[in-house]
Amino acid sequence: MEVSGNYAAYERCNARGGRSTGDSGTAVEYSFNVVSNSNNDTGGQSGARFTAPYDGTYWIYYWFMIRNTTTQNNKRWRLRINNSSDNRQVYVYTSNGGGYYREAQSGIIVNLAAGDFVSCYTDLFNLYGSSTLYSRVNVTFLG
Amino acid sequence: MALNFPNTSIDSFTDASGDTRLRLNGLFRSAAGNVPAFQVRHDANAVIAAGTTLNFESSAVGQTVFDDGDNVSAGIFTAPVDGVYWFYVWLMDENDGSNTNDYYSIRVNNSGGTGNTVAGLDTAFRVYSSGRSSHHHQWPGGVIFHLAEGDNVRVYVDRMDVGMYGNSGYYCMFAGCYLGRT
Repeated sequence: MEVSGNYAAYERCNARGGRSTGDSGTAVEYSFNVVSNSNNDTGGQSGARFTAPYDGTYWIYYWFMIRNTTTQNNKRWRLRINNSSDNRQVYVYTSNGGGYYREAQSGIIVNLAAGDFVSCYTDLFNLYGSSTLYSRVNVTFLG
Repeated sequence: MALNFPNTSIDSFTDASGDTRLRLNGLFRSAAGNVPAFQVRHDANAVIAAGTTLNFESSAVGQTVFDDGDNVSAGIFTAPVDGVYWFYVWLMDENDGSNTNDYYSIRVNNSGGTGNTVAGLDTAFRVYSSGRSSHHHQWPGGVIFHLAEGDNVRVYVDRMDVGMYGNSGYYCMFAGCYLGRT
């Protein structure tokens, strides 16, 4: 730990990722092929999953785009813990649309045990994945 | 062993995973220094056009809600130290026309973004929309950037058919904060 100057300059565990290998397909964990990890020791983002390196509280934020060719009526993707129906999961849902690009984002603050992992389950969506400019995962350890 | 100071102490503990951790007692991290953070809003009573850097702070009735560390000027944030930063934008379309292949970006050093590499993750992030005409559409976005001291970050409206709604800061906001060292 270091506190330098006028700032609380802790080495903060964080991870980021993007995808450029094409759309995800449905009912899979959305995988990121461009990944950056800092101060994770063990764990961090790899492929589809962010694995918690420490017990604690994390800020998890996914940003995706839905293709304009996709029917968007009554569809969803999920932010999942351990790729299960754990009650901490979040559903991102759309209805009454389709044929246009739209954003599909979600972020949560969640308590994880070391070894827990977080991922996006695409469920009924085929999420855009041709550029890291339009697909991101962001994770920060809060404490 | 603990190091004791007035109103605080530093010691170590073993967490649930069996790892040894350092702990500051009675002192939240923000008390150890001023963490760079800001929130600015747009209240200019005008459509925000394509090719525009959102000029929150110096607009006619723009608001700097807070700017801890004094790092924002004319809507542009400049990183005071190397490190990891979180940024978040909240915007809404005007509702009086087309919305086809429009996008805005959160830009580092005013780069349009390179993408698809780890280095590209720190150049720009885009928020895109199409095909929904004549309705107010809210399309926020957030991103973590690794920045060097002196790097600047802005919100840039790359392409808009009808412009962004700028009549109220309730619908148009840019915020960010320093998270820590890389």
